[in-house]
Amino acid sequence: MLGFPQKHMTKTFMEHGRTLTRPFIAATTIFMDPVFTAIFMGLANRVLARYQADFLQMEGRRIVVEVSDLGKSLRLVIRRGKIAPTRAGPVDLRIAGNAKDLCRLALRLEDPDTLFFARRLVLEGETSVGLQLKNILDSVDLDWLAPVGYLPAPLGPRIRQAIDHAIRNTHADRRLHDLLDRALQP
Amino acid sequence: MNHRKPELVCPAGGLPALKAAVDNGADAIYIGFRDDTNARNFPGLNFGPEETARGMEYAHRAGKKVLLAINTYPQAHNWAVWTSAVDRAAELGIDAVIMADPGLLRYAATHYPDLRLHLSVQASATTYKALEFYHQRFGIQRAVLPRVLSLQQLWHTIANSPVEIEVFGYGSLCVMVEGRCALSSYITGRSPNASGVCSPAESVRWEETALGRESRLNGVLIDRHGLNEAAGYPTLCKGRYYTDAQAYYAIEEPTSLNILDVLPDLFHHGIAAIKVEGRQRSPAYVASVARVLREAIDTCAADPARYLVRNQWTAVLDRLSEGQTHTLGAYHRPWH
Ligand code: SF4
Repeated sequence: MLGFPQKHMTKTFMEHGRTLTRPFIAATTIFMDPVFTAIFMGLANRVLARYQADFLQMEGRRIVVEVSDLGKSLRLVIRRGKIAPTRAGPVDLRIAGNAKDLCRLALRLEDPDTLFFARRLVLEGETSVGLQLKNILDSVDLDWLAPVGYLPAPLGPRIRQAIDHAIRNTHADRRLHDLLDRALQP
Repeated sequence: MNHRKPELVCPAGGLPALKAAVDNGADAIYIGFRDDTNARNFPGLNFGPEETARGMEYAHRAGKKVLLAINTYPQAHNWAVWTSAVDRAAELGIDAVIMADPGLLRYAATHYPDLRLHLSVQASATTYKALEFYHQRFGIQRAVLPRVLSLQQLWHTIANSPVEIEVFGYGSLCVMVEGRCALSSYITGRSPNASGVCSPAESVRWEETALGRESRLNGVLIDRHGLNEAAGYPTLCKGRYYTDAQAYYAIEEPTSLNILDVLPDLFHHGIAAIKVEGRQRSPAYVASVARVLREAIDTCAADPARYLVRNQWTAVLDRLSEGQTHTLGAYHRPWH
């Protein structure tokens, strides 16, 4: 009797372990989940709100992102200057790659042109939409210290400066970047 | 060694790339405004007023310079767009403006005598006599030379030049006498000089077929890459054409320039700056290239006689390259 649960536990543990060794697959799987997709879209649209003018230029374009090794795909449409999930139908742009490469791209650990030269990234359809999306994603400046700066002066700016200095002196951001890069080796 | 260490000049198409360049060892970062006043006029790329100010703050705080490319050629009907870019650059206190058009250089030199001027590669100046002219007339202080000179020609130009010389050290090749190539206009109606873009994205189509990836420019097939064959940018110069029954790279192969092999010579002849191509590339590219070149330049500066190119540098750079290989380009040309 003891055998069964033990076996079961071992299995889940192993599965868990495998997921951990392949964080990119885990990340993509999570991302494909509709609930997470919805939350992610919400966040993305907030971050991308500054780029509405760019998105308006791509109004109505339908994009499919295919994760080739997982056999999954994500269908998006640009509507009223925002990105939204959409159902099957004709697409204007098709982006395809494996889970690891797409994750590395999303985390900005990888250069898309490099993947494209190496034939690990596929871009079919309206090239200009793909290029524009890529350039927007590359120009998003993730300034997570911005809210601190809004605290009343002189407190806010001073705290911000102190944290800023600490990060620069310890190269904490670069280390974190390298750590992620190693975890998701190309 | 009596020459100072060359400056490492890195590209940035957006704020994150600029930060990556600063953090990974660039001495100067070159950027462009979000319009056709620069040779990388791509959708979603480049710097608006706010990003420019923030980028300059970030770079200056780290003691680095920001250079602005206003290096396309204005036409009679849009002249004011270009002069207003120069006005903004001067107001912002940009460290130097990179320009090509003589009319615009004259405008900058008369209105803003303190604004430092660099001659863009788009001006296609390949002789010291041409540099003398730009120096005398507009007071340029540096020139970026086209990637068409052999090393012998380069040494000769540096030795006689009245201004500092900057050369390309790494990145995609533009093989024609730069700024004078009409291939892109021939097939797409738009060229680097007038529109700031070679092979505009609207004209590019890729298709994955049973035979491989097909690249088309305005509907014309310019290349087909087999299953695992490394590819490059879809420019007409890097297409494969039939000349004698067989299709091959008749003009240029998809490959990237890499001058690590001749770095000690560049130091020796007194090159002022080494430029990395690629404002259209991502922050990840800028970070990797800046890191490798920083290490190589510092290693060379420490002891040029014992400088050796490390395999790891080459591996990192080749991976990022078109066709995943590199070349010394015209630099190693035996004839000149
Ligand atoms: S076609 Fe080639 S050589 Fe001509 S401008 Fe474009 S990249 Fe340069």
